[in-house]
Amino acid sequence: MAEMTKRERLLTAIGHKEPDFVPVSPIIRNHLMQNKGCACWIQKYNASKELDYDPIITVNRSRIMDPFHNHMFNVGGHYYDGRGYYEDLEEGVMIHLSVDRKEDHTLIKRRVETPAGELIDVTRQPLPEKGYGLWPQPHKEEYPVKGREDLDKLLYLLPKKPQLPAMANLKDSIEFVGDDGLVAATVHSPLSYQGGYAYGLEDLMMLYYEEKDFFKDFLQIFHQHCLKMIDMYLEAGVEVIHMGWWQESLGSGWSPSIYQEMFAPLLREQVERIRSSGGISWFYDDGKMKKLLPLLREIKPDIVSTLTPPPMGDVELREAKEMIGDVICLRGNIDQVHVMEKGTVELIREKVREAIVAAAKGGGFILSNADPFYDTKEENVRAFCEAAREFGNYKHLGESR
Amino acid sequence: MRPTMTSRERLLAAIRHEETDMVPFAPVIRNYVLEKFGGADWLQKLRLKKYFDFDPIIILGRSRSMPPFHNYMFNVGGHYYDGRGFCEDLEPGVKIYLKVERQKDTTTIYREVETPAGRLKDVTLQPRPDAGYGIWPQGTKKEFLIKEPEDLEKVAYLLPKRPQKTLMADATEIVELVGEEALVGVTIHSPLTYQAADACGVENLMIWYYENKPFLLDIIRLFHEHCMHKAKTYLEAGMKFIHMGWWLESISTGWSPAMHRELFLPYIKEQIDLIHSYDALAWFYDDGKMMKILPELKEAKPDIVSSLTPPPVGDVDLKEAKELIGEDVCLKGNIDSVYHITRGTPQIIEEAVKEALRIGAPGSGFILSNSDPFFGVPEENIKAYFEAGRKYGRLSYG
Repeated sequence: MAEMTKRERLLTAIGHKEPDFVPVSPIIRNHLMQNKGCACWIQKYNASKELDYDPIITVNRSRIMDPFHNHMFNVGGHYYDGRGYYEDLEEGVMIHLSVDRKEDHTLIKRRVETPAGELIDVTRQPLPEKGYGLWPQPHKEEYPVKGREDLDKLLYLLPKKPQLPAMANLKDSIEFVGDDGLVAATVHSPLSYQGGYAYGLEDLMMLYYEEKDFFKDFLQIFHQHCLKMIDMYLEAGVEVIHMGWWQESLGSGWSPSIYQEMFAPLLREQVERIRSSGGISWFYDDGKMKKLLPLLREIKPDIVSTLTPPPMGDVELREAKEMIGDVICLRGNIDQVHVMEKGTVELIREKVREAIVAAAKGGGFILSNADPFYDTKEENVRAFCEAAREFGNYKHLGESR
Repeated sequence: MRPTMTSRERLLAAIRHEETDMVPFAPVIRNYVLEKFGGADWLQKLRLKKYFDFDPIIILGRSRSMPPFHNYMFNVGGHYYDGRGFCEDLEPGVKIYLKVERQKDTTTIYREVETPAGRLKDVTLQPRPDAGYGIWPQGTKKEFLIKEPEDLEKVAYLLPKRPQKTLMADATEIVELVGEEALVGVTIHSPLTYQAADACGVENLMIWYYENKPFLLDIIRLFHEHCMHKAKTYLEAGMKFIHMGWWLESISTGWSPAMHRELFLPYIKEQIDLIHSYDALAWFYDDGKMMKILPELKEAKPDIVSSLTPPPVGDVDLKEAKELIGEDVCLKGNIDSVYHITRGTPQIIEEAVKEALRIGAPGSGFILSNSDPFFGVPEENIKAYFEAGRKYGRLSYG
């Protein structure tokens, strides 16, 4: 069989046909951040050339390239090329920020005056390389939403239009990558980096029991924002929508029945929206997924990841293949800690071979790790990509020849 | 004649005064691509190469969201970077209070900065693009940050000492990715441009020349040191091409030639010497009247001088410029972005291109370009400019 381009290889696998090789597409973000100083699409693209893997590059995961500024997560506002500061917000909104640079973090107190009233939050932003890991998440000391009366105000912090320069970069990066991979735009779920930073995950879980209607309305606001982003990305020519749904995960603490009741209808609507526009939906949950698989079979996103195995997750790849592998392309499931970071080259080779044997037959499988790795030896990363090519030849799957 | 050089080879050969297959053609396209594609980053500049044949010079860090050193004079709001925190580039102990008021066609930003040396305050009015202020409107200051000599010690806390690591990583990777398609460099704005002028106001700086010269000298020195620090950081990272944006020191801004020589020339030289000490190229950019500073530039010896604006907007006679400095310095420019490209006709553009090439091309050391970015230009003029640039650029050496 003639060798395919990386793009062809990925699309063939997603289309449930057998490509020349099992596509291998590691989640390499943190590794690049640690070793190259940056994890934007350029580094991912270059790494895919150097290590010979088949990238699905999520271009707007880089916080400087997101056409929709996320005012829940990045509380400071943003400049964009040729646009003003906070230009994405509506007329009549006033923001008061107090930014206090401390030794190992920055404390940001924010008061947002909207025509519907005032929101206040306090965010502690740890500095990287100061004991909080490579890519520390902000910690909320006070959430902006405190009660139902804040929902109208929240709408003023969800930009209605994308930032044009970042959209232009998105389009151009797709063209630049061309046949060397696939480019995806991330739309975070209603809770991930959105609702979870507006109210707090623990409080949202309480809200489900105490004020379910409020909880539903809260979710709906962010869900509608997700749909708007999906529409705009698809119209701009993005092929793959990466749906980051980790804060709705069972691994975050939600029960399968809450998931079914509260999140599944929203997920279904988003997947259908993507499908109806001819896009590829890539559902991403890096927690426990086993009990979600029947539901995902019904909803049918095109790709499901990350299928984390025990002990961190609960997915047995062979079982997942049997349950949903005939209708959904699976992407994962190599353990990033016990195999990639702490494992040996031999263990990595064996786990790669096992995964390929379990899931690659008939297409519909992209080999990857279950979550980003760091503090991982370069030889392990290289071994992972090389083993995928060695054992992933569809002429002799799982065999080294 | 078939091209035998890549765009990058052609540009580098012209800069070194070596023979080229045709005259390199590197229009200033920032505003045009912003208008056409919605962005003016390196990707959009490369995208234009699919429409027209030219030799792009891509300058990173011009995009206001991308310079690895956040500019707190110009972009008052602070910044996020990939994987870093908000205002993470400032020193511990600095506090910033911002009040951002979104109005119909502007945003007003009130800022107070508390530093270990004391407090600073400014107010910026940022017009929105596409709201009657042009495609890329500049902010105006209602109140400047630096008001008196005591403020200099405080403002030093707003000049980041470390670059944002993520964006530095990008710069060198982009050079590699672009490869032979273009020549890629980075911008260091001059001590005044987007720096002291935004912190003090250029009119105030001019008045202080007469009323408090030591204060003016200290201001220029402070921002010059910051320029040198940025230049060193880029050069250490392996960047080999530095664009020096010096338009607010321009004679057209209102400085006299004598002031230019006294106040700015020593720093221009120092920056160029630093760049050359790393075996890198220095591109001096002033889009105003330049005739009277050409002798200075002959002394300072940047590798490229632009934008050599002709009358009536500028005052450069290309023939004279070529005679004065053309032997030592590569000239870039001289097509008038307003009277030739925006308001001219295809015939006027063609004649202007032919004439510039007739004078500039002999002996190499010339890059055809326009004197400033253009926008709102009829598409037939754009087409005429790109076609004439290549056609006559080929004929010049053919």
